[in-house]
Amino acid sequence: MAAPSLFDAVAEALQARTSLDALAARGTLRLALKSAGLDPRSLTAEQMRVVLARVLPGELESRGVEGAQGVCEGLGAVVAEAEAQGAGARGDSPEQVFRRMRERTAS
Amino acid sequence: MQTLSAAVSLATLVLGLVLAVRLLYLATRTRKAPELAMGLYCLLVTGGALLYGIAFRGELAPESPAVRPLAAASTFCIGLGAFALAVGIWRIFRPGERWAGVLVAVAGFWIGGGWLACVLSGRPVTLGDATATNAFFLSGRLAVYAVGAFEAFRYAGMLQRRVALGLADPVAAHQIRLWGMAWLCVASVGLGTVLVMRLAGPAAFDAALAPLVLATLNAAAWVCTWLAFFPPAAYQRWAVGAQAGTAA
Repeated sequence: MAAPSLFDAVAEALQARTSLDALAARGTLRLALKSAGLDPRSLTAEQMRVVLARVLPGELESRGVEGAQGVCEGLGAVVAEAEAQGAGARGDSPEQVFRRMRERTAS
Repeated sequence: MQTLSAAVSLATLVLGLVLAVRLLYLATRTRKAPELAMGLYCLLVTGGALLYGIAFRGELAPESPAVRPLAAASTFCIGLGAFALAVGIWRIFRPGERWAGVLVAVAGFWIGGGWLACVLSGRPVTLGDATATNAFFLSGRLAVYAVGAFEAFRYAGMLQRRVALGLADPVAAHQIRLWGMAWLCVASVGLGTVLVMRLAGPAAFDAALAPLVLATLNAAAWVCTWLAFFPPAAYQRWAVGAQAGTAA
């Protein structure tokens, strides 16, 4: 069976650790990613960690979730576990394509 | 002023060739599709523009038998270049999405069908023909340029938000935005050529203003493409400074 995506893993854990239902947990996480300029389908573990540290706590607090900071810190372990199972985007992002061209020029 | 527009056109041909060589050389080293597709785009469009210039702006008489095959070859190169761009947009922005591959195939049939319809009309095809077949050919290319600009601006907007969180490189955001601007300029050249022909007739291309405006837009497109792919170090420093200024 394929490993769940990083987004799915974190959304499920968020639902389990808060009073949010599945739809609200996924929607809140999706909004946090969107405000960080990220796409759930091409998300890396590093990007998710930054969102958990800097964006998601605010989104949870605005929805009345208590202890939002602690919940997000706990989700860090879920990211590490999902990463170890191979979740998270790989391959070229548009940013990497343009950076590659730029860096090859400089070298 | 005509000398100026000819000089601008010549400079853009040289820039297009240099970009094509650099991108194709890079593709031989990285073996990646985006640089190969974009290198082919630059090569085909530059080759198409050169053939177009020989057919319609050179010493050939309009009734010369060489004009028709040259015109067909030039528009073929330009159409194939637009298709290479469609492949590039797909491989850069949506590499894992099957529907995007289907859209690229649709664009290929659209542009190829439009070109064929133009050529089958039996007369030299110009990019400014005010005919239904040329409108079909042009609209396929414009659709590709519009999608390229949309994808670039959408992604640059996302990167801008990531930059604020330290998740993205500000120069890459700048490069991708420039790439989107290039496609807006290219679309303006295609649309402008048809509009000038439709509103003012072929004589407008013998006057000074229309060729200069179109040549300048074309030059802007190539400069944006060059800065997007191979930004000089000084330009990168300026881009980072401008980004920091925006964020402040």
